[in-house]
Amino acid sequence: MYLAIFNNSFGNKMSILDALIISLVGFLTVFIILSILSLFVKLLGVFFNSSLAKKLIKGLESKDKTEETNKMLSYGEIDLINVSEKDAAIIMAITSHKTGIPLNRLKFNSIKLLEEKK
Amino acid sequence: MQFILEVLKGIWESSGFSLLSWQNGVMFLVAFVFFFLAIVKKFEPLLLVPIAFGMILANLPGTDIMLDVTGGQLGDLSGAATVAGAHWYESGVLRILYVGVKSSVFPCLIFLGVGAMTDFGPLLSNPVSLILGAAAQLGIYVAFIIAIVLGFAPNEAASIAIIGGADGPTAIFLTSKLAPSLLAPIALAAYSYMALIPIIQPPIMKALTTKKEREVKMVQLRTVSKAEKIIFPIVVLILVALILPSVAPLLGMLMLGNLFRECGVVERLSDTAQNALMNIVTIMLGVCVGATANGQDFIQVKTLMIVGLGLIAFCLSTAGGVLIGKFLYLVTKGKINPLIGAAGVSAVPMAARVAQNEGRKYNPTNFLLMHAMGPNVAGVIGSAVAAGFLLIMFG
Repeated sequence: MYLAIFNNSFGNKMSILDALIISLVGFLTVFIILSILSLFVKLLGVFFNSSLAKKLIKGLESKDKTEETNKMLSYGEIDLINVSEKDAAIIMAITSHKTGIPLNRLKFNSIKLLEEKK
Repeated sequence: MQFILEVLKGIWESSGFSLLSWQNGVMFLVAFVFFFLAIVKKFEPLLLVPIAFGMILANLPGTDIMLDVTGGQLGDLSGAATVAGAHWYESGVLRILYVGVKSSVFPCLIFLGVGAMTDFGPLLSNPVSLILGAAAQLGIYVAFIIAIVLGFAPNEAASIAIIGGADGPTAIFLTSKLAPSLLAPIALAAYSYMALIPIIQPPIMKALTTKKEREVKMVQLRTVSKAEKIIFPIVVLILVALILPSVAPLLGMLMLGNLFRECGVVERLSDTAQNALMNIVTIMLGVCVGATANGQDFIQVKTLMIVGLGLIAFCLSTAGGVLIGKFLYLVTKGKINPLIGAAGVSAVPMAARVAQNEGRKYNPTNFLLMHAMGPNVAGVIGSAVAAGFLLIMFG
């Protein structure tokens, strides 16, 4: 099991000098490993704060946002007959809200004005 | 009349009262102290209540709740004989659960939950935290030397020393591999000191720092990106496990739990690791650790020495963290409050909370919690690394 470096050579006894050396090496090992990690974290921070990383992250975020917005849009093409885009958008939003069906799962073929406002 | 007397005598002899010894009485008292601390003083009740209850269960004579009919295969190292024809499942219920402690399954699962609950953000925003976490392992190595001087075998000394890491799961993990016969006192000491952090640490912190140092207000931490938080656990595991393979089970579970939390696509797993799994394992681990404190086996000079050495290790680890904190205070020209160094003794998040409370005592506008969480989680990695080193040396 593992290295068992000192298990056999020391048995049940160990001199104080050996204990001191092991303690020193052990403490240094912890310090060195955590210092390496500290350096790694520092480098990671430097990289993610660099303009290149920020651009990359911004690009990914805007791509995500575009996908998210696309998901919110209604599905397919629509014929608007005597209806403005603004009115059509309101009608689609109301339909989605009243039916509880998300816009991206609703398909409108056409919206036609039947009677002119007086 | 004679018959009635014989019946009464039989009832008395089969009752626990006739078998009760003074050692059991002492353990009851210890359990009541733990209950008092947990319920009245609110010191880590999640740990102390199950531990204290386990102690009571183990010290009720005749209940056989920790009976091992397998002759030690389930973890009873008191020299119990195998019961002929008996199956392992006829052992005491807590003895069967104890297999999870002895096999290190519980400590590893606790680390999974700790990882899922840990935000490495403060550490990532302030990498110097890792140095504080390393410094707070000082007590482990000093206690190791003292234990050797007192005549303990090297593997026993290493197991006792790890109490200084103030990390119960790590202490159990290492001791179950190096000195299983000492598992009960070491686990109990480690968990007890973790729970008693609010009592043990403040006097040391106060003694080693000046009022001016304690009043230092640390600046706002930088925002850490999600990508950094995802990369960190993976790289740390690969790096550390390649240097110290023996630490892989503990660190692996810690980092897996943290990846569950940070990756954002396995929320159900993260939630289970943080709550349901963590709670279940804490109950079983706490009760089993408490149940190992059977008065007859527990009250010995050796146990008292272990408890004393554990306290020394714990105090020295706190001192190590604070002293390096003072050094960093000087290097950074007063930007680091040395109190956060004391949080390097792992024991997440109790040690960080103590740093926060102590800081506010001297400067009510100070908010050190997030700054102390850095060394605190670094301490978890530090104590796991220290355990890995000792395992390689004496495993």
